[in-house]
Amino acid sequence: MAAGFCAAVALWLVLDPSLARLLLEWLPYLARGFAMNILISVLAMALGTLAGVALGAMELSQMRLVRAPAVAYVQVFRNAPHLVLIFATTYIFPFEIVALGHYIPFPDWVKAVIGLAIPASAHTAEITRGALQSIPTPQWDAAKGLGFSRIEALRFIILPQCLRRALPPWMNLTASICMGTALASLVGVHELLHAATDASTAVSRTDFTVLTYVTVLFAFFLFCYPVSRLTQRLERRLAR
Amino acid sequence: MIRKTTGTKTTGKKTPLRAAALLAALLAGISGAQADATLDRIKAKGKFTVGVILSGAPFGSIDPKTQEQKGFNIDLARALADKLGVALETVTVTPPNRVQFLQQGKVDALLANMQVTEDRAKIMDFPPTVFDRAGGAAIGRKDSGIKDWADLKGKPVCVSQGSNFTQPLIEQYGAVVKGLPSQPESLLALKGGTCVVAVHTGATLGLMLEDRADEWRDYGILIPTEIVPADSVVWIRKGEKDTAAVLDKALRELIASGKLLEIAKANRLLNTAFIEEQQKTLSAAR
Repeated sequence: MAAGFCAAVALWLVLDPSLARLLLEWLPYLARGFAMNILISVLAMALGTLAGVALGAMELSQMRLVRAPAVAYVQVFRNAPHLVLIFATTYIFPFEIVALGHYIPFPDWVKAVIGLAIPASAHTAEITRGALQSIPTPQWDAAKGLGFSRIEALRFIILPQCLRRALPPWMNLTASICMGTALASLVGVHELLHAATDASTAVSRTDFTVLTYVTVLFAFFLFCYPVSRLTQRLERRLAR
Repeated sequence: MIRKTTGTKTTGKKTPLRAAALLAALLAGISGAQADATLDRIKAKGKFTVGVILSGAPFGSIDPKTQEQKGFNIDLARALADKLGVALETVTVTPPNRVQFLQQGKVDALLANMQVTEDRAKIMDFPPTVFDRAGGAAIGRKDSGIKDWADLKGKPVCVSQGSNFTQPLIEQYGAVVKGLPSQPESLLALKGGTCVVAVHTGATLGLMLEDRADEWRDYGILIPTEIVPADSVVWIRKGEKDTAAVLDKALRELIASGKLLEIAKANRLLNTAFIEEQQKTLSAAR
């Protein structure tokens, strides 16, 4: 289906070379916008994963004081729409920090990273918790019997197994966060969707507007498809 | 927040002391203010930050060749920055975020195709000098039979989200308004038959019809009058009197000297009658 779609677009460009020229002219501009989406998704996932793994471990803590806040955080932010979180971080944080007469900017894209890292961390926490709980408890006992300390058991026996189980859902999350970066355009981040609007406004040709959105679709597809294919392969390998 | 920014300089032991010193410095900075906050910022940064909208030529768009911003809004912003003797920084704004950007202080002023309305005047201020007058024109198929604003009753009309034409279209003319993210989407919806007409700033539509006559040959500006023609002004935060005074003086000079007309012509504003009129009045008053 994807191939058919690409062929249709290619045919359209061949039939209207002026449109192809326009697209070529605007591609670098669109690419710069898309670089922002990639940057935001990579940073949001990195931050979200670090925080999420810690939160997931906290959720399983035997101390209520540690467990309760983590569970509350995860429940609240796992169920909040990404757009709401992006709006919240954008309008709650200041746009710049004034210190000793210096104005230090706090750019919107950083806020978008935080806005997406929050749901990413909540989801990663659940993935981590699920993976940790999926390891049968006798394994802990067996490790203890073999003379491993609790930390050593976690490091050498439990975590390697968790990682394999957590990877596929984590990659699904990556794809979803990546697509969520398009929401950042609504708070003024200059990403692909923003660049697409700029391009279609400047050219002011309706067929070009359609083509620009097709290009946006294609860019996200190119970024997310390999991730989803890799997930499928990993799932198959782990199922064996 | 504050501590974080100075984190690189702070040593562990002295942190509370440094923080206190910093706070004192900040407070001194605030109480020592000469003009209003916006003007102080402009001077301290050496930069006039203007929110501009890239909603299409002649007002603002990206130049395909240089991929820089160009248009009437940008040139006017630059001329104002020159008058203030500082550099210009532009921030692209969109109808849904422009007011927040101004109120957050992210931009010092807005040149974002926003005409004076009662609602806007309640939450923002503007230097009294008007630099243009703009209203909405309705573009639609020539064979649609629409000849007057009253003909839009009960019919679907496309606009950009946050457009000030929405309210009169609904309240005065009973149209069914559909707000689309921006002008290209709205025009696409018009072509797709989602609405009978699309209503956007007259100057933008006029220039598009002239430049892309072939693509739009079945379409035209259907109604001879414009909807809610209103004054285009520079919007600033509420209560910034000194900024308003400085900008007003700059605007008057730009208009009287003919510089504004020059900017308008360079950006191909089709109808410059209002600016010419303003120029006459202001240069006579000098």
